[in-house]
Amino acid sequence: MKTTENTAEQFVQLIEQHQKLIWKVAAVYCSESEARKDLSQEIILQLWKSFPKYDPKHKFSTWAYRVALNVAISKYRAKSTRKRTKHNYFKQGEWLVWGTPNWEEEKIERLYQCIGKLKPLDRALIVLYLDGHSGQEVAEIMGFSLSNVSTRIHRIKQLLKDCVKS
Amino acid sequence: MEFQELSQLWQNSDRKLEQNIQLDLPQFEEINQGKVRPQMNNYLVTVLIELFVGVAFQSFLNNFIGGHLATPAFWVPAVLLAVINVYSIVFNAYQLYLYFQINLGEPVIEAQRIMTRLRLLERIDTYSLLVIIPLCAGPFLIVGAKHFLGLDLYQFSAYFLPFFLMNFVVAAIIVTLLRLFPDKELKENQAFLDSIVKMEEGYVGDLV
Repeated sequence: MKTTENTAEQFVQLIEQHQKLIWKVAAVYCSESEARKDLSQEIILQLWKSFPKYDPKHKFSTWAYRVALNVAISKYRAKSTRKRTKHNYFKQGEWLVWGTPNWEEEKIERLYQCIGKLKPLDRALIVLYLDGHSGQEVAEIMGFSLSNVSTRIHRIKQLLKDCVKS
Repeated sequence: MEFQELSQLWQNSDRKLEQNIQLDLPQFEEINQGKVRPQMNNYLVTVLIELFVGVAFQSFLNNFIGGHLATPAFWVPAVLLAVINVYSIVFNAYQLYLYFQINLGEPVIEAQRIMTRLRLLERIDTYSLLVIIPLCAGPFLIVGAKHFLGLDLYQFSAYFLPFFLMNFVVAAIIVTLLRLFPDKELKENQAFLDSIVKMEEGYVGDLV
């Protein structure tokens, strides 16, 4: 019992430290705020369900990114995030309380929009890259080779530059 | 605008996010108190039921075949049903295997490959039923009538043969239609699997 409580405490602490990660992943896969909330709840729930499999030898952020991206890509591809999760999770209450970020620059909103135009796996790559992960870390989270990641990121960067400019 | 600038924007927005997101701890702790019970996965339940029914049906067919070895008119349709049923059991067992292989903490590509394959199998399973049902209706009726009613349907062969042939035609039409108008989800999942393979091979292709 005590172990479960400790585990939950530890989990809550880790999620507190990494809540931005959940927000960002949800934001690049859902443009509507309600769908984004649903997706973030789903991500948190799946993180909790998968937590027993987490190996502390690895960085929590690497594991959390994998889970969050896998949930987001699957839900995005199933195209029924709201229908599936609304009744199951949303009515339970909101675990992440969201303000409306006051982006001083429209450009950041534009950047999110441009990322939203990419294919699901490419969105994951660029979010990881923008979050400051090295090519090697991106490759580890995604399961691609390093050279593959570098080539794709190079192309995506060019595309985003053009998109934000336009 | 250089990408460096976009990257800087992202980092700045990251700092602002901290002021706008807050974890609602009392709500969140409900996770641990068991108040949040996500719906049991319908897919898993369906596959388990199919598997259970398949195994039970196989046991029935084995007994039926054993009891009618002297009359090919009955054991032949039963064997046909058994072959299709074994295929169905193996198919369901493979789906179950893939389901338990899903680990969201695995690299994204690996987990997505398994989940997409599973979705693909789910669609194939649904559509294969459209073909299997008309094909198996005749043998199923012969076996069922004999076992449960003690009735030999061959005595109605004047009606039974056209019914049997009609079912073949229905199955053939369904196969043709499915080939002409493949399911959108089936196509999308196959395309996603193909794109994963291409990405792994280093092919960049279209990004949007």
